[in-house]
Amino acid sequence: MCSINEENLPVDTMVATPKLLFKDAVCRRCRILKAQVLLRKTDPYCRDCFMKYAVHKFRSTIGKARALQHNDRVLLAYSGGLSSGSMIHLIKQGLEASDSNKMKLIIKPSLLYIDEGEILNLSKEDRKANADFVLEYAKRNCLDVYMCSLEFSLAADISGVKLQMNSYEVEPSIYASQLERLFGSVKSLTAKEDLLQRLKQRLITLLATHLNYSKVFLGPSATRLAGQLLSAVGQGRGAQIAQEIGFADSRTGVVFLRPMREFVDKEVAYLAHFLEVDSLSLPTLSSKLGPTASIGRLTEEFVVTLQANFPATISTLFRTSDKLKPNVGVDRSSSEFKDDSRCLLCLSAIEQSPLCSASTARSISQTISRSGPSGFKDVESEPQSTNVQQQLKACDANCSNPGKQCCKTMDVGANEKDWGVVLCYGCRVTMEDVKTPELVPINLQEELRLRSRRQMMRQSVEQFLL
Amino acid sequence: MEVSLNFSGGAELLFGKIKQHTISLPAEETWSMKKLLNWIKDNLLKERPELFLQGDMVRPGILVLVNNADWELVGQLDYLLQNKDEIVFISTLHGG
Repeated sequence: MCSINEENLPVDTMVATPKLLFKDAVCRRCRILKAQVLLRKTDPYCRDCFMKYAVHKFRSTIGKARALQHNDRVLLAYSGGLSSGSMIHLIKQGLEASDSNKMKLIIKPSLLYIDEGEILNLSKEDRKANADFVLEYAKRNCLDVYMCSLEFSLAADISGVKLQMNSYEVEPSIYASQLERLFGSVKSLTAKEDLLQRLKQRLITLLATHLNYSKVFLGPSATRLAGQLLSAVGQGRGAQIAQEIGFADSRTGVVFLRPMREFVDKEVAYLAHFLEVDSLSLPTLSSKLGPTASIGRLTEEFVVTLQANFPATISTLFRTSDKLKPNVGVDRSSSEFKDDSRCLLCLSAIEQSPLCSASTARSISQTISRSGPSGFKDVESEPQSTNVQQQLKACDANCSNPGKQCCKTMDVGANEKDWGVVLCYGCRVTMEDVKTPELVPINLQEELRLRSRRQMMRQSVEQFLL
Repeated sequence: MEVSLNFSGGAELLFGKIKQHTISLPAEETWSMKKLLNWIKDNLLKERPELFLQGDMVRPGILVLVNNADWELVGQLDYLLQNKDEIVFISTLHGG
């Protein structure tokens, strides 16, 4: 691709493949039936051969990762869309496969549906109708379905969550208005989409742990993941690509698996059509918006448009991302330390930034440009020192640990800077766009106190260790 | 001439959330897919035509099936519609 362009050829010549080369072609596999499907612009298949190919690909994606054991309980995250719908159909087929078939799937699945209606401004009737569709879908497939509303992702723990099984009522809760206010206060669509993803992940983890499921299947297709891959890089989540895009994601303790990740969107559409998967017309945050509405939207547009002319785009992105591994300088020997270096929002390891790093450079240049030529000198030193002085004054004489590391010094003053201790770079960028961070289900004060206390303990014990 | 149109995967959001349309076209004319797309744009499309069409073509990310076969296999824009044809538009884009 790139080498052709170096010759300065006009762009047209790069895409000028003769169109409709495969008009009325026969299937390249069985060579008998008329082709109905055209993959990668070069491979015509008939319907039966395509389905065989797809089923094989699906099961080998699951099989080669060796992530499942016999009779594993698996939660299937169902959104109502084509991709997760096709996934469930393929799993159902796998469960019903004849015993002689070695590829038979032996798992115990249930569905999980998260109602995002609150932030999409859907009416109560619409949300109910969507839920009814999902209930009907589950019934037809003879699967149990757990239903929960996105607002409960703001609950501190499982006791605050209202989880319903095989039925759904939209009920007002304190979290609903909290969620609405939270999303209303987010400045950019990019941050909103990122926050939505994190909250959903948090809620699914909470529910899966509560219901005792150790594995969750998610349904994003290769095209969607390729877009996410590029936007992850754009949003400063480069170190997390392996987890965000890969087949298995074990950040949360519950293992998220993505069995649809080898299917490009065209294959998903064929699958859904041939399997007669009905879908909900669910809008998303970026529905009906232009291509520059958010980073995610832009990268998706880029991938899809490029893929239309160069069918190798997605696979190239994937093969590259599969080779990327995080290079986080975290000592994983002690479990406590591991907890301390995790982002509270996305649960990725927080990169310990050394003195010279891209994020330090960014924050320095941000400080300089925000303060302007005159304000620069004061900004660095002033707020911090006055803060500390005030706190020191407030400290009682009978404080157990007087002086610089007074207990109260650590308690007060949770400000924006402290997000760096508990959030990774990507989540920090998102949180900068959130005007009401106190609504996010993170107890910042508490966590900061815990973390700095542990840090101190470690320091004091260190001298006694050999 | 009767043709059935089906929109799914989020494409129906641009057509008033209705998935299934049956349309009748004057049979004395010949109807190519190109002409049909223009007809859809003028008669069915409710909003944001650029999210469905790009130039003469359907936007990348929307799959078109003519009688269960990819339209690239039957002549794409030059395919001539027959009576009782079934055309399916499936959007695979996130959120339609």
